[in-house]
Amino acid sequence: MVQKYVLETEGYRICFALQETQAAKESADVVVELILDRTLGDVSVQSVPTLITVRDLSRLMAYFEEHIARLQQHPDSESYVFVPLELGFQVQALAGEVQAEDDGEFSVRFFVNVGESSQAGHRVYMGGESVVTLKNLRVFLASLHGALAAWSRTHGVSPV
Amino acid sequence: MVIEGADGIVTGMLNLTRHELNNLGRNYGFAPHP
Repeated sequence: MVQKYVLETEGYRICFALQETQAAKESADVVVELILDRTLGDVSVQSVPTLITVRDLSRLMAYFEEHIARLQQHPDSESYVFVPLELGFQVQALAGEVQAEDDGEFSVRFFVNVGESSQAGHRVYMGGESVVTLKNLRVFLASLHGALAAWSRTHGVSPV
Repeated sequence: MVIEGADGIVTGMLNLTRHELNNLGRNYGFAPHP
């Protein structure tokens, strides 16, 4: 069964469509889709089907939590580029205004891996940059937290 | 699949760009250009 987890920004939303694999307890099949806000145009870009590990999902959550904590002291902070092991997407959390753990916003860049170039076989990424509110980010993180908890119960796999 | 080799070299994924290798190094804690 495919489970979807959505990160909503002001300009686009990112949808992670996860499906458990038969082969491994530690990873899931995933397609990541960037969908432009409808008021800006009819554009969506899907990643190639890839894998994501439980550890990478957990790391992604920690990445955002650490960025939020840093922005409270240093609003110009830009985090490193987060990538999962299979390079299905790239995300970078950028500068913003954070007043509290759940009050504020920052810019976020997101790219999805759409395949390989025909010339040299390098991966090609397409994406966007927009502002995400902490309110929407918290919704996304809570949904991922629930997914990891369910995963742990089902498979006995710890995300850390 | 990416595998971290004994010498800190990522193997198994073809045609990694320097930028991708740098990102993997930063995310997985190894020196991308030992």
